Amino acid sequence: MPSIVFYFKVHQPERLKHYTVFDIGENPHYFDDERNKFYLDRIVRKCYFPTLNLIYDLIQKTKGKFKVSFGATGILFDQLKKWHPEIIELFKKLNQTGCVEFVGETYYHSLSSLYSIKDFQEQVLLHKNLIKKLFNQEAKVFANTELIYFDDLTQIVKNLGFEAILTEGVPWILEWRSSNFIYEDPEKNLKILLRNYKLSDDISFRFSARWWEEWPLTADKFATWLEAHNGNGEVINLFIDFETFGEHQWEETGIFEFLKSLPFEVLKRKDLEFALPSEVIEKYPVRGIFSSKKPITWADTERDLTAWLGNEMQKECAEILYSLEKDVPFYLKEVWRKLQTADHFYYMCTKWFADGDVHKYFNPYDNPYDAYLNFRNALEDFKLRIKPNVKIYLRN
Amino acid sequence: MIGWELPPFNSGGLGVACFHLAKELNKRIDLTFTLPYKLPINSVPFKVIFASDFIKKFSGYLERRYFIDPKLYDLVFSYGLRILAVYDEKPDILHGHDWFSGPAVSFLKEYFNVPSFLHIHSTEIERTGNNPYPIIFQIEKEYFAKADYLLPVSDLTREVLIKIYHIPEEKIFVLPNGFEWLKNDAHLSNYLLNLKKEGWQIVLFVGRLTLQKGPDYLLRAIPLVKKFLPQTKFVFVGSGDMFPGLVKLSYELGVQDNVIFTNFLREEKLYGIYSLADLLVVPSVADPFGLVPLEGLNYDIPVIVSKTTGVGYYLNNMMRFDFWDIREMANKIIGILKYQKMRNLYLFNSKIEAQQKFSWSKTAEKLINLYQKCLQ
Repeated sequence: MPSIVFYFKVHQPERLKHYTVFDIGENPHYFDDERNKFYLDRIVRKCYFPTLNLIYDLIQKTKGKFKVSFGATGILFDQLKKWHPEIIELFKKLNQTGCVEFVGETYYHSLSSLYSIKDFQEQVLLHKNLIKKLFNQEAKVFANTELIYFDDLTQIVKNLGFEAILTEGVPWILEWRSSNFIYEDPEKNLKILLRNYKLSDDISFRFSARWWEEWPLTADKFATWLEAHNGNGEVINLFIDFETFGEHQWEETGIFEFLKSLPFEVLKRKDLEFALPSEVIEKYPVRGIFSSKKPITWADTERDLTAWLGNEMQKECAEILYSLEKDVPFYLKEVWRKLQTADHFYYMCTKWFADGDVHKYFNPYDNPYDAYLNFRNALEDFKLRIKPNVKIYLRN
Repeated sequence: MIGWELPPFNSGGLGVACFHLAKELNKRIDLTFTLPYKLPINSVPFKVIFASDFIKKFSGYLERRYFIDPKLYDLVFSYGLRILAVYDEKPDILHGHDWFSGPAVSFLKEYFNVPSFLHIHSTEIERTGNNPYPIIFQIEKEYFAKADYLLPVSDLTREVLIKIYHIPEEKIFVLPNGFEWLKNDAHLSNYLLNLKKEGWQIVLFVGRLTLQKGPDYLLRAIPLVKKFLPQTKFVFVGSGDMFPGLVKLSYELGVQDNVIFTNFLREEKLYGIYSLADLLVVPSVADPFGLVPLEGLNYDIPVIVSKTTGVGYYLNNMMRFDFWDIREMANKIIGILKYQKMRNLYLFNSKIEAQQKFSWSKTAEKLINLYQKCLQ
């Protein structure tokens, strides 16, 4: 009887304002509240508000049989607190149903696991405390930024109190094996839940694609595909961006209708159920070892880091940023961490850029070079601010 | 093909564009290129005929100030008839360039009764920053309407044709220019070489010193750049009616030591400056296509362009700014000169993309497809 695990990634970065070389040493405000609020307003209206309410209804109507997990970042909660506290209340209301799990994340959606173990640990604990405070949940399952995974990470994550980690079911690592089982790392530190990329992308990526032979995708059809795994799978992990509902896939595509009927179509079939990540790791045994020495992610077809750290500009910015760690005073730590948010690096991605490809989504920049220039200028200013002669600067 | 000028006797990009287009077309179809006057042109790889015997003496339309040279006006309107005097074979297609071949194309079209194309490299509206010389504007309006098909070189010009000239959309086809990706022999100036040795960085402007090309906006950005990077020289290559004003302005801004005006340069000397520069800025108020950005990339220097420069429309890997936004222009100039990793990656990616998107053989093939469609 396969369990279906939904994990929704809920995140919005704090984008930078237009920051020129002339602002260096003059302007200590990097983040564009106005723009961030603008994007947040829109995403709340189109996605968070309708989808969370819908999920609440579905949980009520299925008498708690529909279950979902959220990977909501701290930086998102910070923004919601400022501008849309009603969404936090909605999350709390959902939490009270007992059918919702909050998965551990890095607070700032950062790439810190690749550069600074110390800061990674602190960010994960910050997020853990936040979840505890808001929802009184003890996060047991961890999902790193963009589902980054590598073997050496498991020991660190385990020490932070987690039992399992989510990552991508990379086909060339799995080879003939299926992503629909529980795995563990070679050192047996953590259990591993692997994203079923085919079924996940059917919803998040192909749902409204007219070129797709399966278009239009109905809940009935999708439930039938899920059912087909009966007997050769124990967990089907559907890890998708929460913005899929109403933003990546607009309301007009019928995505809400799909979500509305999916739980009933699934529960109609005797052999399917919904479950939370922390439930399935208890329920099913470990069936194999999943191992990757090099970092993998859930991004693009390469499933690697090249969308964030693929070119010289991205690498340079990350190296400079993390080289400052030991000099960052406590009162600038939050700014430093907000600069770590992976989205800043994503905007500098030049991969496929000549084809005018997908990376433009919610991207405030015209091109990756503008993104670099803006970030780099802010970084230059930040370097000045943490230097000993900072007093001169603050007087400005 | 009804032409007006050919290199090396050209005053701008038009002659170069005609030359390469004709050369590529000639490989695929039977082509005759006409010129209004006799030029000592040799070794042109296609057939050229001269519509009159006199040798070009006046400097063409580009230098005009407040009046059209009557001789030029005369030539524009007698061009068609003069062609008939030396060429009477019926062509399948007529293809003219810009307003000055409009009357000739229209005349020959009526005579031979064949489809006519008018290639629009720029419009008077764009050349003058929406302050057109009335006679030319009238000629354009009349003969653009008379041509069967218009071929603007960019989407920007297409917009102008629709909105200002009220040309119906269905007779407009955008035909981007190609580019010849070959480095020519360059003459390196000792003066600039020495500057570079002393640690100066060189920012380049190439184009006529006229309103359309926006050299004054770049000049006004210099004080901002100078504050950050005092060892930056701005080299302005080109001539034009704004020259005295620009010199005066450079003194007013106190940047005279950071500015060099070279006057109009061609070939080796121009290529030499391209090869030594660190950055090319194209601040055009309106530039329908603009070959200059591609020339910069050809000589391996990064290029930033105004949003109103046609090339920026076609290249994703291109940093753009509003021509009037001198602060942003300066921000980008400083950024590129300062952050070497970005500069190198930017140059590499934009050059590759440009090479893939602009080649004359591609343009010629696209044009021949259009010809065939229209002949059916």
